[in-house]
Amino acid sequence: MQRLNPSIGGHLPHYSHQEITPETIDKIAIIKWLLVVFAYCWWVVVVVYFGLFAESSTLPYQVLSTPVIVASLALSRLFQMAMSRESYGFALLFFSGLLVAGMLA
Amino acid sequence: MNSVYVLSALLLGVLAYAIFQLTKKSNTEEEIEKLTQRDESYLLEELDSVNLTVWVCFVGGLLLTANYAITYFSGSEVRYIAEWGFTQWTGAFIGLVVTVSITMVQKVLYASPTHHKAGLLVTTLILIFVIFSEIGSPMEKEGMKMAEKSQNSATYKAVVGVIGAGGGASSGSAYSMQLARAEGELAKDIEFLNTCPTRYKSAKRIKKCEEKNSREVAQDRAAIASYKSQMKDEATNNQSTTLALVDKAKALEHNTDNHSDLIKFVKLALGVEFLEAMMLASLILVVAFEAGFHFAGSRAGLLKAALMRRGNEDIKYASDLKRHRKAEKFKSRTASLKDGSRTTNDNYTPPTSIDAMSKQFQPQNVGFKPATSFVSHQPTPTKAPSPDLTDKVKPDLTDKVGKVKPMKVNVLTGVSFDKLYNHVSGQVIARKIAPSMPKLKTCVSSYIKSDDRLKNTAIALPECQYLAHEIRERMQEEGVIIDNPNYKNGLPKYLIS
Repeated sequence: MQRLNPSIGGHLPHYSHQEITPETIDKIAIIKWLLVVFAYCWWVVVVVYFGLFAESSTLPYQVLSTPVIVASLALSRLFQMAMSRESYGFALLFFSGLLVAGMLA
Repeated sequence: MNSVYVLSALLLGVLAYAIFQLTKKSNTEEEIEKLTQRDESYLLEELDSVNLTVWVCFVGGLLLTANYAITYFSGSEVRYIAEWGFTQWTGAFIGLVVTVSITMVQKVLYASPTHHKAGLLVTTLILIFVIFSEIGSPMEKEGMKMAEKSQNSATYKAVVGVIGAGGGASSGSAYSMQLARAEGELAKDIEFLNTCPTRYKSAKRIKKCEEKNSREVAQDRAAIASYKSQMKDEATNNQSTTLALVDKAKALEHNTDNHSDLIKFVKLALGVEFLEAMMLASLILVVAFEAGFHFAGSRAGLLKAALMRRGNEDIKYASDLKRHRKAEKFKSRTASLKDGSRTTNDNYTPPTSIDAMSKQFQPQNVGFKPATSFVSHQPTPTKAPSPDLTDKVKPDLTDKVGKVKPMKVNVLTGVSFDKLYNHVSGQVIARKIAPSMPKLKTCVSSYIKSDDRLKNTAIALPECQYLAHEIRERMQEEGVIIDNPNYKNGLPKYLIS
């Protein structure tokens, strides 16, 4: 079984191949990892909506879209940071901002 | 009270609370203490990651604020940038400079782990401006999206086309042609009426001609009046139709049905106007972003404070620490490659004879202990250390987990081990340094360099590591440090008792 990436979860335990069993898998860490992946995927959706399939390809429209795209990327990274530090209040706040940014697309 | 304003006040309250928690002195002190116990490599790695996040936030904040500042100073919206003249460009440049400077101040302010009252006041003032300006950008973008969608719709284009073609009116050519014909008939009948006396000789025939033509002239005039009246009515109807179409086009030009579904939902749920719904949605995004900017900046500040508290007072910025470490490593590696020696002593001259070698590498009687007595678990050597630099005693320094590799040691340290141990353990007990190998090595190295007699002595990195290892072993034996019962990847191996 492939070892989980500790850099995303932050506090994932260090397992060797022989030690991985269903009992030892940290389910919470998996959920956190999945949420972080979802956050980055959502950012990709934001970029696609604002960039590739934008309503308009005029320069002013793209100029106004760029700040929201960059802010969304920042919120994705912040969400990852907050999850790795187990600051769930901040993580919820950043995730809400990210969702709103995507829905405004 | 309007629910949008209540929610907005709530969001701003959440932001203020988040900033308060991030800058509270007790929280920051506790966090710095926890971070001080971590390995330096872990702190540096996290600092690199956090710095990247801070820079992304910086760019995002700059872009969000720039739109408002540029629009304000240039006096024209960004969408009309193609039509800008010198005045607009100058104003835009000024706006951009203001934005960059304010965002940089934001970055610096957020990087301070704690704030004094003045700092908090400045943070509040800057946040007011930043939130005010950053809300405008998503709102304007949403408005532009709605307008673009509306103006590109087929219905709007059809209506505009109809207006351009004459407002849906019929050309009226039928009435005008009939009018022209009637006027022609009238002219002919009037001529006939006027020529009756010349065409007929008898009075009876003349009278009959005049009566007939008079009737026809009257009929023609009535027809002309009727046509004119109908044409007038038609023009009035056409004008009404055109005005109605123009109103329709105006409504379709900014069709609020083309707003995002989120905006429509907020408007429906809260029963507010579209503008208020847009403001609330933008505020959620901006509050989350600003809280995140502060969060990342504060984290970077805490990491730097922890690194500096671990004894790197000579490093002005913690980000220099990596460069400093790399430079140290490179220096020791290059020094070890020069003529086979391991020393970093610039005054070192290689010995030219065996006697010279023996004299040079005699242990100095400055109060140091022979190498054999340093190593608690090293077997007693059967002969004196060889003066040949390439054939040194190689103590086996494997510890419990066998991670320390055998190394060569230059015994020419001339330092009292007890004094060195007392200095280093004192630093550890005073919590000025952590009991990790890199910190202990640095402390050993700086102690030796601080001694006037020894500052030019050849002391290489492996020697520092060896001495640091011995010091740590002794601290463990004396109970100065203990094994961390919760040790795992990412946590310190030893704790100060």
